[in-house]
Amino acid sequence: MFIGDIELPIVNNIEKGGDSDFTEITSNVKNVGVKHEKNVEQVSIVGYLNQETHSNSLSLGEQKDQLKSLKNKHKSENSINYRKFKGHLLVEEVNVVEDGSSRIVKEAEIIARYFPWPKYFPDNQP
Amino acid sequence: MTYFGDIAIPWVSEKDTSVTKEVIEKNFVDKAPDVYELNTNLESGSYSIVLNEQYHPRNESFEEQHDAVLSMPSRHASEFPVDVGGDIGYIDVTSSTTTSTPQQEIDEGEISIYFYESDEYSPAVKSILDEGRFSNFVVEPVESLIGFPSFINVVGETSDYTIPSEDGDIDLYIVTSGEVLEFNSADIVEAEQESICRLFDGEDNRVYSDSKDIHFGSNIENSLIDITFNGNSSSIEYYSGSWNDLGQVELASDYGYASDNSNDFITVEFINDNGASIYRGFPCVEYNFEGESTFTHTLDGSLVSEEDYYLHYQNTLGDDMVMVKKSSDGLFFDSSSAFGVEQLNTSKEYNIFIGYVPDGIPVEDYARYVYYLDKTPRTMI
Repeated sequence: MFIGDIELPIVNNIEKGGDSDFTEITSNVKNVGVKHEKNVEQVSIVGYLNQETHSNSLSLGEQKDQLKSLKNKHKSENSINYRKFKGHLLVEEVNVVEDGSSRIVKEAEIIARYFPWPKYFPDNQP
Repeated sequence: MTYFGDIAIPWVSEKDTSVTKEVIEKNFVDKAPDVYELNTNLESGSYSIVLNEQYHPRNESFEEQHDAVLSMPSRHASEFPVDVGGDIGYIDVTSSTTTSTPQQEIDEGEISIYFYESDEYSPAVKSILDEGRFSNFVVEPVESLIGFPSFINVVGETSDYTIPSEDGDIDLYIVTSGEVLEFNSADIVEAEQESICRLFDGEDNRVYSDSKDIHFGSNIENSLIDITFNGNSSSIEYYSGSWNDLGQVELASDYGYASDNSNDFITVEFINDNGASIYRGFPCVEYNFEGESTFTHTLDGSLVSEEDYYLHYQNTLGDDMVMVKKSSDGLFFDSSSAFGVEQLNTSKEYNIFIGYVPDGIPVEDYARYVYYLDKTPRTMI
């Protein structure tokens, strides 16, 4: 899977979620709820870094540096077109597990806000 | 199988809801402590769900099922009648998440909900007619229509017209601005499954959300009218006992998405700034566009009459059609194979409606209902 030009070689799972703020109004008769506009959807992508499956065979360290650089990029640069995702990501967190359990595979998690195309950035098709 | 309105979920694996009541305890210097009760909160909690492609009544793909679940927070509670685990009522979904694991045959999800019991709460729609539209032409009285499947009971109202749809008969109610129609039915879930507005992405995938992309071949339909977006034009079909061709509209479409996607109305917008809307219970389509000097509906037929805000014409089957414009800009034109509006200002945005007039509704009245047609918000009462 690619986010912009940066590769996550192995995707394990993707969690996507959306929510709306909700205000419950109590009255003497009965309660009613008021739902506000939906917030921007949040995405969590869990995958693995691995030199053999990376298309340019980058080392784990290079892959980790590339993945962490996603946080510094504007969302318009972080395009994604993978399974049900077609849009751009505003990357909020990149976590690479450094537990020393393997020198071949490292687990990584990306937490981002998802901006679906063409609702957002219509001139920038992923 | 559990239905949340028109969204089918293969399995609900866990339901965890609770009702809470707040109390305030006060201590007093001159008497014993007392506890005061506040109103009981709405029942709330979460449902855990499982998605599967083999076990779905419409054989929806994972992509469609994920899109359906993720669309739930942006839809109104009245669109989600449920009959699950002994609970019969409506759920207001405040958040939904889905997890997909590429290697697995099932995907999982969770929705957070508030619950409205059906014996205490009823859904309703409110008619809001846009005052800003009244200034262009004098069109009176100010009325429009709201449609429901005929098996739905609208409390205290008698339908004014009944028309056939592909899903069954639809009752139409004449409404004025601000009117609230409360409705119920013996099967509350089925009420949100028949004659609703639906969007497909061009590959026969249902699109439930207001964010997923659509493209060439996408279509919107409400069991009365069906519009397919073909790139350079869109083709229209209408239902009058069977589906009939209603020609093409020469407006280009490309990639787009639904800016509104509910059971009562859908608006699709394309990158080129053109778009279209349909409404539940109404055999008409609203086109919105800008940068065009001419709006053309290609159809073999003949003109019947021209009024200041609408054109009345017939196709070769003798069925009545109207084209309604909200703006005073532009002039209607007609020929034996095309009808439309010309001399439009290319720097302005316009809305033009094309509608099939069902049997039994006077054309003049129908054109007026279309002129005031607008999106109807839902509420729970």
